[in-house]
This record gives sequence, structure tokens and C-alpha cells, in this order.
Amino acid sequence: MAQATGFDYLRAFDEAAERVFQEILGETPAKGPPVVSAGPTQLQAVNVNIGIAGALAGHFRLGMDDPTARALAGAMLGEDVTELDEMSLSALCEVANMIAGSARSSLTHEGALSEITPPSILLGQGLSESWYNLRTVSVPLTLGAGVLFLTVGIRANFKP
Amino acid sequence: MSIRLLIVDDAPFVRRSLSKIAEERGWQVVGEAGNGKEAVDQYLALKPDIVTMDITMPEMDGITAVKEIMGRDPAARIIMCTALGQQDMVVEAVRAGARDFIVKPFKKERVFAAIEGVLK
Repeated sequence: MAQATGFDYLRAFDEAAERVFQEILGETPAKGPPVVSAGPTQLQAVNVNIGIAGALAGHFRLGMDDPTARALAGAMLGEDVTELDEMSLSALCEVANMIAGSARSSLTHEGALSEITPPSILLGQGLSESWYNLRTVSVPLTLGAGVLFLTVGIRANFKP
Repeated sequence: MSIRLLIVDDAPFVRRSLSKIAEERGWQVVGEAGNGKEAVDQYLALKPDIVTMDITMPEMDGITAVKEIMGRDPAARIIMCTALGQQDMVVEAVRAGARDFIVKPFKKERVFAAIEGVLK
């Protein structure tokens, strides 16, 4: 059986990110070329992960370096963020939540009813992550705050 | 008279965003809750004019909290806060007694309209 690449689902998240950043920052991100990976992926310093379960199963991650995370959180909070505290991490989680929620809505309209999990945050340098039995597709999104890496690894669940 | 608000959301960032919007209008945030159970307790203690209620929260979700509050005070005015993609859950919340809903990311004009509309 062919392994799903998740590439088909990237578009839903990519378009959702465009809507969300236009809404919250008034900016349209510049998109770089997507990169497909079958193995572990290198994490950024700040990563917000959201799980997907239902007709589709997998993960969505929004990763960025520390200055980008502080700049993005600062733009959302309307203040300078010098360190990532509970409030600024909550703002970053909310961005990821909005993107995942919007993408879920699009995919549901296409017949793939799925749910998303609450976000989790991974902080650290030099970490890598593997999503079991999933290929990942990652696209860089450039905003005034910096570059964010939107990564998805999703497959359709088997239907008898 | 200043409107008295109870803001319910598990995300501190969302509570702060709504507080800022409320302050801009001169409304008073009398309480904040991070889950549905806290929301019910705070509602009974504070009797706010309006509750803004998130849907997905730990311990007790927003729809269950709406049912609990409406069971104790059928005149309660509750506005649901939904994320993009959660609008389908709003129908259940309205059946439970919620009066309106606002979608994250919040547009302040929509928040003003929803709260002032429910209080008319």
C-alpha cells in the first residue's frame, strides 16, 4: 500500500495559515518551497504541535527560532516580549490552534471529519522528531516577525 | 452603567485579548475562569451581566458549563467563543442556552456588537 506523503493535506494548512496571519497581523506570508521528508525532522527552537485524529490522523507543527517566536508573540500581545513566558507561549499556541482549526474546517468540508488536540510546546535546541509511519511536508512562511516552518504529517485512516 | 463580564477560556492569551477589548469599551471584567467548572462557580458567586465562554476546555467543557449555568439561572446571558472550524459546536451551545457566538481571532467590533446585542 502506498504510504501517504501528507502533501495533499499541506494545502489546507498552508491556506489556513494565510487566512489566520492576514486576520491577526494583516500580513500575507511569503511561502518558500515545500520539503518532503520520510525520516526524523530537525526541530526549531520553539515548536507548537497539534495532533489530528478521525478520518485523518497525524500531526501539525509550527516551528520557529526564538527571536521569531518573541516577535510573533509580541505582535499578538501588542507589547515587547523579551522572554517566552506563559502568556507569550499561550499566544503562540493560539496561532497554531487557529491554523489547525481553520484547516480542519476545510478538510471537513471535503469529507474528512477529524478532530484536533490541544497544542503542546517543545522548546530546545538541536532536537529532532519522528512521526511514526508518516512522511512530513514542511513549508517555510516568511512574515515580518521572521520565518515560521509549517510542517504536516497526515494520512487518511483506513475505511473498511 | 458598566457591563460586568466573566471571561472563560483555558488560554491566558485569549482571556487577555478579551479583557483588553472590554477595557476599551469601559466594561468591567469581574472574573476570569480557565475551565467550565470554575466558570459555573464564578458565575454563581459574581452574577455577571455577560459570560464569554470557550467551548473546548479541560475538566468541564463550555457546552456543559452553559447547561449547568442555565439550569441554575435561565436568565444568564452567555456568548460562546469558538475557534475557526468549531462553528458546528455552536449549534449545540445555542440549544443549551447560549445567546450568540464570537469567532477567534476576535474582531473587536464583532465582540462589541455581540455583547451589546445580547444585553438589549
